[in-house]
Amino acid sequence: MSDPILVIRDLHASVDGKPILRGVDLDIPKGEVHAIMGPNGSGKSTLASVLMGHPSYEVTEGTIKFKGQEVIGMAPDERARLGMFLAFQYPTEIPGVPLSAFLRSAVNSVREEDISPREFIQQLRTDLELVGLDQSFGRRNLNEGFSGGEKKRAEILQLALLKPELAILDETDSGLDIDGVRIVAEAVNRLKSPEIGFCIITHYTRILNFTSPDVVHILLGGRVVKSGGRELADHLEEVGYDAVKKEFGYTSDEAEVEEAPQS
Amino acid sequence: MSAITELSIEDFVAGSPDWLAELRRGAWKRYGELPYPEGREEVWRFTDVKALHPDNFRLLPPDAAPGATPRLEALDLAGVSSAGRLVHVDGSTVERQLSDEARSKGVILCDLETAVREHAELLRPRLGSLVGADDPHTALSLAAHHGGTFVYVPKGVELKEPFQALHWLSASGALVLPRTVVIIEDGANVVFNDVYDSDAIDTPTLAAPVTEMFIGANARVGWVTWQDWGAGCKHLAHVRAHLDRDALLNTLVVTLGGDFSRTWKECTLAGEGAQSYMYGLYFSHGDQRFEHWTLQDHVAPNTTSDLLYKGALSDTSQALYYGTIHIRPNARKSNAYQANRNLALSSHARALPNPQLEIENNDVRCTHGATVGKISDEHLFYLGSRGIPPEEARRLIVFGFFNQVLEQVTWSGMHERLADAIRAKMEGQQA
Repeated sequence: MSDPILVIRDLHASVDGKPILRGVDLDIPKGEVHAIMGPNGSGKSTLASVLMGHPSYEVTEGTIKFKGQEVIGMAPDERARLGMFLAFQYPTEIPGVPLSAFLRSAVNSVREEDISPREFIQQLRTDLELVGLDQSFGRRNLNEGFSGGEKKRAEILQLALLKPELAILDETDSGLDIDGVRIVAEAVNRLKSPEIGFCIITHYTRILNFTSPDVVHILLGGRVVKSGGRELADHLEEVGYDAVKKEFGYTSDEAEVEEAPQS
Repeated sequence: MSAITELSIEDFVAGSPDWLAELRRGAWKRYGELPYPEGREEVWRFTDVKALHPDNFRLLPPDAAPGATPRLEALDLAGVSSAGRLVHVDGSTVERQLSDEARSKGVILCDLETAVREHAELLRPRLGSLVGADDPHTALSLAAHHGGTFVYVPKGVELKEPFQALHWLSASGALVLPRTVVIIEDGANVVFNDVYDSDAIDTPTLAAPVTEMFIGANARVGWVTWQDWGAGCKHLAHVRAHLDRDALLNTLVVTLGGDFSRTWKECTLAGEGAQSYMYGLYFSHGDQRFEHWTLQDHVAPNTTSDLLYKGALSDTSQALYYGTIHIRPNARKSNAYQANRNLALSSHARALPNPQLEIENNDVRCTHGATVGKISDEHLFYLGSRGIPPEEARRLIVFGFFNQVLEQVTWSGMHERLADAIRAKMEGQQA
């Protein structure tokens, strides 16, 4: 196992003064796929947003080190340029901005040198194919009028183009039919390399049937309560979240923290 | 002594043929009779009307020598090729060009004074017929107008390249009153750029241009009004168009410059099947105040109007939109749409949309809407999460906001000029 690229220690975060993360510890090395599983309200999406620096969340304690650098206090674009990436649960529609123009701007922002137009077009064509989107999507406005599944695929498209060193997927599998889940998982499998770590946040185990995680973490009440191998996900699938909550001494209510609504 | 009374109407009448002398004297009399607005009137209740009083400015005598040479490259929107070009400086016409193609097809493009001498049969029935002596400013315009453009495009003539009229202003403290008369005959198809530009001027200066447009049956006309006056200028423009049967008019008002700018754009859909597409794009900064007043006047049945004005506002600037859809009793089966969208880039900028409907026939489709938004934190977070820095993210969002209007602008050169103008505004605003 290589040194972890992401090291989270005792991370506490709140929104509008309400604590949601209550001491998260997590290590993700490059080249590994980690799954973070948890019931509704366990703090999964908050963790994703806090990692990427969403301005609505306040980190009250702890550290997030990425490639050895503290990222708390860094703007989202600085984190992205450092190599972090978040695939959104609910990708934002931006009217009038063509997907291709946005992608070129993004690629040029994270790369040291601007990509040549020819290379960009080739890369875009390849990656649209990878995620199963029609070539015409490049001309469409960013997420505007995309179906739920198309939005998720467009997130993976961005992941493929931006080549981050840490990819956080926030419930990318939610709301997808089984074909959609398979396409996302296969894209992840193809992008997997010793150069990238994956953090797949999910409610369901089905994406894990297509892309096998090296480590599974269970998030409850704003903390990682258990980590293990693939078998942990299978166990969860078998007994359900309520049994796990009980196992860790939570009543249903205690385990649920209110998450800030995403728009 | 007020600036206006230093000159007498006879200075403007001198050399005019009888019909024009009569028109000017009548309008002068009217100007003297009309009370100056007090600011309580509906059309002035949002505006500092005192600052626009003609007495605050210096009316230029008709024989005044034109001022400084304009920066033509700043004005030229068509690039190298145009069907014809006029350059007006402080109300005097300093350059006239017409392409051989346009000339051979019988097109006339000249300054209004030449049209008075040479094309009175075309001009006389129309001058002042759409924009008359309705209020002090239009009355003064009819009485003392000087400079401006005359365009005549005969039946069926189609020209790909645009005409351009370029208005440059350098006389500080002046009041300039150009009048433009446009006659597009049946089935003709042309595009026109009407451009207003200047450097910054130290004393308040007022341009009050009037444009009267007569569009024949089945004609297709593209018309751009581009206002980018320097600081110190005020702009009070009237553009009124009359559309015959199945005519199609595509207008774009671009407002970027000056301290104060009010552009009235009014389209009368007088012939059945006439269509008017009215676009607006504005970007205010500093303490600029822009006003856009529009009228979609549906007189005939089966007429269509579709209006979209979009504007961004930064710093402490203000933008008023006041638009009326008027469906007359006979205008059954008409479609009228009106939307005004504002993007406030600063919490001190103020957009004031004010849509109005007057519907006198129930067998019509009519929608209107107005919004004032700001750049959302979620949008910035999303773009930021892709590595795009905040300034670049804002630029993408602002261009995206304007895109709906930009994609309507298909003629050559204009798209790039608009993009440059938006970019310049965004850079200025961050400085």
